[in-house]
Amino acid sequence: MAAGTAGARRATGRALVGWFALPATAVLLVFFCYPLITIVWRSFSDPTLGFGNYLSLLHDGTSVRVLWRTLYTAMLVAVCTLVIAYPYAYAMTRMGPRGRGIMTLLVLLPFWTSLMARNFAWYLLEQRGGVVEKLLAAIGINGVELLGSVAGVAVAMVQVMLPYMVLPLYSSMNSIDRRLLDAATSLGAPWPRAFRKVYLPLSLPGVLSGFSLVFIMSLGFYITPSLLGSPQQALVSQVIGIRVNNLLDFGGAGALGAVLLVVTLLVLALVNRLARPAAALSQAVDRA
Amino acid sequence: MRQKKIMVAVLGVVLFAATACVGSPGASGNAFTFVSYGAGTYQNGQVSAWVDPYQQEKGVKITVDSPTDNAKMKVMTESGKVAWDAVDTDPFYARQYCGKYLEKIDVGALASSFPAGTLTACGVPDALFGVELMYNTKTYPKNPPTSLADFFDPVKFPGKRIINGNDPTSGIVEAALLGDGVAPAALYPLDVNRALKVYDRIKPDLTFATTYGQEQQAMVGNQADMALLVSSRAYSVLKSGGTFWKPVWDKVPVSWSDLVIPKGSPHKDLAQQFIQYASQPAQAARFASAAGVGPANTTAKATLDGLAQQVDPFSAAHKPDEVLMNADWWARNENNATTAWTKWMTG
Amino acid sequence: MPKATGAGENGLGWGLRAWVAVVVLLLLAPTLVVIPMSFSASATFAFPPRNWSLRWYEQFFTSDAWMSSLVTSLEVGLLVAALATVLGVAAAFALDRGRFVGRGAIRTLAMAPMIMPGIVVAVAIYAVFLRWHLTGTVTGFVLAHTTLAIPFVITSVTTSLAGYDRTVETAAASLGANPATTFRRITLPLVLPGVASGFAFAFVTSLDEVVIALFLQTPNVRTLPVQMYDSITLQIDPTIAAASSLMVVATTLVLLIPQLLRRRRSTS
Repeated sequence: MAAGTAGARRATGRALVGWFALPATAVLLVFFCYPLITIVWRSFSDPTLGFGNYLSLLHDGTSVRVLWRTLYTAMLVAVCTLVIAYPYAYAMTRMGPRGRGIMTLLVLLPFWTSLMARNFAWYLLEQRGGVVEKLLAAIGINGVELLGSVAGVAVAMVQVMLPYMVLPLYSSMNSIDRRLLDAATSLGAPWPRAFRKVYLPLSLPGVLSGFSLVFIMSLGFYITPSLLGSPQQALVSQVIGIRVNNLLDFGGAGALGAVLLVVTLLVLALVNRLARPAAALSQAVDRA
Repeated sequence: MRQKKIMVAVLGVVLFAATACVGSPGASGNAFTFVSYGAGTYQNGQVSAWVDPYQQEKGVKITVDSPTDNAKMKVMTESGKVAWDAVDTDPFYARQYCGKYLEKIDVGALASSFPAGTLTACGVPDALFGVELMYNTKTYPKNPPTSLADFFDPVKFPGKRIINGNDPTSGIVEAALLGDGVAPAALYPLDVNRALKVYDRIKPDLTFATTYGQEQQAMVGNQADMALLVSSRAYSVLKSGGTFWKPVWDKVPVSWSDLVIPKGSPHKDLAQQFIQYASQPAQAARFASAAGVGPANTTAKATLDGLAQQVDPFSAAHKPDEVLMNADWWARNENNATTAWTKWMTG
Repeated sequence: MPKATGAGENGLGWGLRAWVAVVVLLLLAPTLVVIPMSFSASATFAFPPRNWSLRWYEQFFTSDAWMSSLVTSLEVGLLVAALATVLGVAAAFALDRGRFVGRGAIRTLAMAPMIMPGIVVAVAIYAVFLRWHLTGTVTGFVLAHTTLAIPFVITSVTTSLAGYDRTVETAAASLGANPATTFRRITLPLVLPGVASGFAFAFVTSLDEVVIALFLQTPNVRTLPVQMYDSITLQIDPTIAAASSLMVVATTLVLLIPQLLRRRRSTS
């Protein structure tokens, strides 16, 4: 009898507790979703109703190029971070608890360090006569000026994005039973082959969530391109910023923004079954 | 990790408590905000010639903000949050948006003290300046550039050029056309597309500064080889250690700045009194002398120091090369020209 | 198992070790240049500095613009942390305990701000806030940053909710505790670490946010990251080097101190 009332109470409780989600949902709907819907709507209605903003993206001769450049850069950044981060995340799983703690800390330090401070540091390194130029000159490559180029933006972005790649990778690799790899090698498979056939496929969810996370974040990244890039080699985020700031062209900026949103949603839809990048990241940070 | 994060928050609270005593600037009744183009001899001149003495004489607190940004000014009026009261901006803006985005300004008896055709209902001229070409003597110790055409010739003069990409109305469009051989008399109506094609030649070598402050500092920091910039900034460059920069004397597009009051300014009376004060001959002369600009009040006489004289486009020697801008053309076409420029710049 | 990990640690090849070292260098070294920069005597960003001084630290602590931006940042950050924590904790409970229509949709919505392109969100919020007269107000900053912070709080709290044994609650209830008592005496202490971590996460999210803040700023309401951004793009103000160094050192200390304390505790 007592169990019955407790069960009933719990059932009503479960229905009631749902309402606790209401305030957060309301705030997100009003101050997050509504603005996004409005900006997309303005891309069709500002200054005149129709597809004018999109047609002008196609025909103005620069927007398409900027979009491709942005996709290419985001892809490049994601590939580079993956290549750099994969062995690091793998090494983390092979460490003892203390080594692992230290390696996590080393990833979290930049993650928690002010974004502006890190971008400012890159600004210093990449300027004319800066450290990067001198280093390159020392090994015989002269006259490379990274500041103001897509390459300069990409280099800094790779460093800024590294934690976003390492953490999901590690959290997925950590759940792989290493004995599988040991078993494969003890059965006579050479290590590279065992790695490729056994370990790599198992780490794929982490690769996908890290990769898609970095790719998506790079698409809409504003600070690094606008500080280290240049208008001539602009990424979409810079063009959106300049259109809004200099021309108050919310329609045109909205159209470019809508394209970014669509690409983001497409990527998310593609990887959603295999990984949930955002959740993966925050859990990784939280557990660390 | 959790512990660490909690410590972040604790640290934040402590910092907050420690700094709370500093307080944020309050919006008291006897205060207003003056906006100019940012630290450099120009704004510093305005501060020393107008802002400081005015604060002392009238007991008004003036906050100086920068840089001037016309788009931002429009947004302020439209959103009803006008944080700027007296603004130094270009004269086309004053002509274009009088009454819409700007308050009318009464200058009383001073109305006749400005060069003919410069004063408008919403804009009071405060300085004349020219757009000059300068080059880095470290880069071009021998055979330096000698004309505007050289600025647009990346083959004869390889090197990094810098301009302020956010101020296409300052005279840099005119400079490109003059450099391409257009006669001063045939300049208006401006062929903006032709000017952009001229800039296309050097686009890979071009750095777009976002403000004059940034441009000036890039020059002093040896981050560029040639520059187009307004004459007051040329003076700033020399004054802040960039003496390895030298002007090239060719045709000089000449423009002026206006003081305006954004519509909806909460302190428009104070701002108007301030603008009247700044336009007096004594104040105008003090500003012109400190900033190396031409005084807008025709009865004021500026006394320039040696560095300012080096880059002064208003001396008798350079008088014939001055090409005065057509403010009415710009007032009519500023929107289209700025849009074309901005879209061209980002690509 | 411990034996296996021990063997693994010893088994790291030289190639992998070198790679790890390079990655660590890449992660940490670039940021450190701000520290020598901050002691420069020169008003330019020339690096490495030729002469040394403390003038940029003096400037940071005495300038109205820098101090008031710091105060604004901390004020906004604390308000955001408080608001996002209240909203996020409630939502996390609802998502964890509740069974209702649209739960999946709300979960997705709650994660969306973490993943949508930053610049698009910023411009969208800017456009709407202009109309609502929220630009240049602390309220505007707090609302915008709260939407970004809510996902972090929800994840934090959800993780700690998922991590504990629900039978404790059932036990308390069966021993006669009413739901309020159960919540206060059992549930709350167990999720408190998650709540605190969510609070801290929200605070840092707001403190570090630049893009939305850039659009919402006015001269009177300007956060520290915006002041830093302006000191590169508007005019070179090396005070940013002092500000950056202080932030780097503060972050490092906050992250390292617990680590060091723990080590001391374990060795003593």
